[in-house]
Amino acid sequence: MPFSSAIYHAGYGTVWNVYKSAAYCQSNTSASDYGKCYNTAGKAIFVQTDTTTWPIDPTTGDSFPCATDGTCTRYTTTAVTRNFGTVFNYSGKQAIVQYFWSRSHAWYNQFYYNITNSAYGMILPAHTANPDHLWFLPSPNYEISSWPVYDPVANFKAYLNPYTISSGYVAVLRWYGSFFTPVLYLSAWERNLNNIWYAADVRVFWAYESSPLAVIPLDYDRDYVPYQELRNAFGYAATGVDQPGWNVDDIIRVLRELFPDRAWAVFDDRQYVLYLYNLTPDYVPDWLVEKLTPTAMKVIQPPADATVAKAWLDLLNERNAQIPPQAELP
Amino acid sequence: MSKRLPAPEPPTPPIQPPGRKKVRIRKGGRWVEVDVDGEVKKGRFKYVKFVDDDGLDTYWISPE
Repeated sequence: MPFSSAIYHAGYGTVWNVYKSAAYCQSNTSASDYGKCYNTAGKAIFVQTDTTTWPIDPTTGDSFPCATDGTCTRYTTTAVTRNFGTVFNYSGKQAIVQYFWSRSHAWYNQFYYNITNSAYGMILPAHTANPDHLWFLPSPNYEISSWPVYDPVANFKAYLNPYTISSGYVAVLRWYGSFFTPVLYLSAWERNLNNIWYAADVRVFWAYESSPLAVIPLDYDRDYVPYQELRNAFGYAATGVDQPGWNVDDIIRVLRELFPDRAWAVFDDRQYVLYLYNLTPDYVPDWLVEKLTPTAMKVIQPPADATVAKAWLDLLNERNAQIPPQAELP
Repeated sequence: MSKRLPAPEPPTPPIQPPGRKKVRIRKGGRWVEVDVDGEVKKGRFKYVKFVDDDGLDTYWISPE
């Protein structure tokens, strides 16, 4: 099962290699420069819900100071969890998060609790713990500090451009380990607060498995023995639709042996080829093509009986309807 | 004074065999031209049908 590495880098008002160390926004409503952001690289985040005092006009734009001058992204609604972005979201396979680094400036030490969370973890049926929506931090080896911060691993020098900021707090979070999840969000626990700001720089490293998927919906009761055999051999995906496994030839060989009279598909996620057995592309639903985006579909064996292919399609659609939408955070 | 020769005619394009449409696809890191037998649309994507080198009926994503 080959693995590949990946990196995610995001900057909001400050970025990894451009030290705008004094980045901050003015959240004191009594100050004459309220709502301005200074020394930013890219756009900071500012939450200000008062659209009466600072309206957003469709023609002239957002009247909030830092939104007007382009130094912040303004949010006009509060959130329990602010989702800045999706680091990755794999269909039916897992990634191993290995390293996380963030440097944040904010009105308060809000990042001490959070940063990333995961969802829809793959678990074996026997496991009762639910890893969904697990906050990544705190962990035993995270750290938080006011500036200047000693971070020798990331910087190989005693102090990372020491400075003080005139407003707010600085936090550096660092995490190493191995954490398995198919989905990772970059989020902050915002607690429905208003009149707050962030400037943050984040890096995440992870590895993801490259493995073919067997697309064959199985019924636990009716297909108990092959179900168990497949699951033990290939692993288990929470969706019940995709099953990460070995290589394409292995999976095709096993499926031919176990299910010579059923319809099934195998997706090669290295070549992006979807192999079809007792199927033609006519039976492959559009949502599956959108999900896997195969470069090619190859017919190993055309359907001898249309009802076999139709049964595969119906079961697949049924399973797909049961998969919760993954776009929204709770 | 020698008479200037007229410019040579451009080469005549080869005559396409009737019936089968040719499509260029990106395969194995390079462009290959294949004779296609049909098309199928799936979601946002269009696939062209041909028999690949492995002898399998293949539906390849169309670059057009």
